[in-house]
Amino acid sequence: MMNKRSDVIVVGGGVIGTSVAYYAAQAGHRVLLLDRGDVAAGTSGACDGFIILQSKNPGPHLDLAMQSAAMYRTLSAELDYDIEYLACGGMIVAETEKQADLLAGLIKKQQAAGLRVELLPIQQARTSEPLLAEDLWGAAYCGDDAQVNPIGLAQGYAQAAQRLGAKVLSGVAVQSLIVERGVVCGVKTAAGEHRADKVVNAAGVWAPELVAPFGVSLPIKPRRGQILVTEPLPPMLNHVLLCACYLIAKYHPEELDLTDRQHRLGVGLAVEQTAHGGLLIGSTREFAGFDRRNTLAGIEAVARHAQRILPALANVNIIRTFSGLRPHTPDGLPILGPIAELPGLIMAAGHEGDGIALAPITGKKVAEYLS
Amino acid sequence: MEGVKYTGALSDAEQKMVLPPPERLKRGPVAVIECVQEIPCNPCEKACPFGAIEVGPDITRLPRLDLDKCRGCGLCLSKCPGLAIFLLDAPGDGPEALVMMPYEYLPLPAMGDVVDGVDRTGRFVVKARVVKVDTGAGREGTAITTLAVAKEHMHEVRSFRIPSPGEVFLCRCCEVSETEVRQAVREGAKTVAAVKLRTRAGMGLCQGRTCRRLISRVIAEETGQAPADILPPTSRPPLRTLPLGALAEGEDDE
Repeated sequence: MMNKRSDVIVVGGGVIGTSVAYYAAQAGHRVLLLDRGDVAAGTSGACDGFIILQSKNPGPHLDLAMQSAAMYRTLSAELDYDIEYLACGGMIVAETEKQADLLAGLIKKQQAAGLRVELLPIQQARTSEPLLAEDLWGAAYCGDDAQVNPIGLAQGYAQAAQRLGAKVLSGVAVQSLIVERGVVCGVKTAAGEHRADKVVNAAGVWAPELVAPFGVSLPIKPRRGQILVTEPLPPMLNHVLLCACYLIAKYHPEELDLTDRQHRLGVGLAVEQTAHGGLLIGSTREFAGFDRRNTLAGIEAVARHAQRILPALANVNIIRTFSGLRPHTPDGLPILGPIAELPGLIMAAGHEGDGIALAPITGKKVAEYLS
Repeated sequence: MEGVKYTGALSDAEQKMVLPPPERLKRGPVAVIECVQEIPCNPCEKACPFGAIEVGPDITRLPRLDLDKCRGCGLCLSKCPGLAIFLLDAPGDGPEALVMMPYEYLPLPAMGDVVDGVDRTGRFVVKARVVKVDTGAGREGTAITTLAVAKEHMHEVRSFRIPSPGEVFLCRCCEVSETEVRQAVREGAKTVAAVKLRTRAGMGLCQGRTCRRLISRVIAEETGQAPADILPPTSRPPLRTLPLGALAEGEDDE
């Protein structure tokens, strides 16, 4: 069976795939998005909603994040969908002076790159985030950090793309790329073939599977993040909060003390209060294959660390835990653009914890590669 | 796996144990005690002024109704905390029977209203007419409602719904309406998880314990599948809410 020819096929309906579909459709391409599950059913439905700039390394990483952050400000109106964007600002908490030194080094470079970020001692940080423990060292503050609802983001992009003529098929697993004379020209699914001029691999942690049969090895590995969800609560946090452990696990894994379980599980605080009042409290960063279960050790380590940073959380009720698989790359940067081995294929995967922050700019850049 | 213990509704075998024989119905109104679970409970015994109901000193025994002593007064209906007692009145050869039942929802129907008679599982059976709504002081807050239903359905109809043009919330925690859920299913959400991703249904405090079956049923209705074939949502710990501090105090394994 041969289906109608599309210009562009996007594989994967997470925040990256739906963003690509939207900007590609906006640029006039005929877009078909395929997801084996559903829009936001994978990693994008199992993560927090941080749009955090101050966790990015100066250079292309921070540049892309800053462009993305600017796009977010008007995105709800543009998509005609409430993605629950909140320009709340963010803090990265330092427990010790050693961590503060690490932050100070990063901040200096970020300030030089034009980011408004500063280091606050704990008394000052507590004036705007009173629930922080008194015995912390302090926090780095960036007013341009924000948050969004990732599920809403993917739904908003998917629906807006459809209004622009894109087709979104859920429950359709791509079995293989179709490669003819060395050029990617479509995909095979159980329900038949789809042909296109370009195929975008936005399959996140599942992206390597798609290209492996053609001898291409992508350095993307699933990294599990376990997150706790609380009951809806009155407003109690004013910012999205990370802790320096997150940056150490991300950029300086050699600094981790592997005899300590918290470090072994890669636990770094990531807390936000969603528009519905519930807190998302994360997270572990573990290599556990494609296992999406929650573990008692992971839940406990996250709870313990959250309570250390925000002692008042001891009394909030946890209603659910979940875990998602972040597409980790060794250099912490996503894999974007064409790859030499497979002309016709555009990569848009490997964002790990930056998928939300980078989704808009990724979609926009990939749409540019398509022209 | 059927019967009250598994489904919350009486199985055919259990109904056989409690429904009155046709000869008794011919003689006049009679109570139907649909109590088939041995639990420690006996207010019905004292409720009957004629001594027709007996539980006895072993309080977990099922109540036994003396069909000859029962006068069909219906006083026991509002005394059963499990709302398990009904009254049937199917005299003569008329086409209708009266089914008297406790009803603890608001708003109450009015006399003469036509309502949707539903069975023990809440499924629609037949349209029924409200004959009486008794909210007298002796009823202690439980309205006893009498429906007139076609005789062939008198053993099925045990409650009713007031047809309402207003919105029904399927997910009460997140206030997601039936209309929104149906819309999501029509837009392609064919599993409980997919409905959740589009509407937030099931993401609230109860984590879908209340709404997931209702959502399955809507998906089944919309897609023509059997409710049992609809994929359930992913279950994740904890089963019941617990404070973060309790989670943080697990044993050290260092």
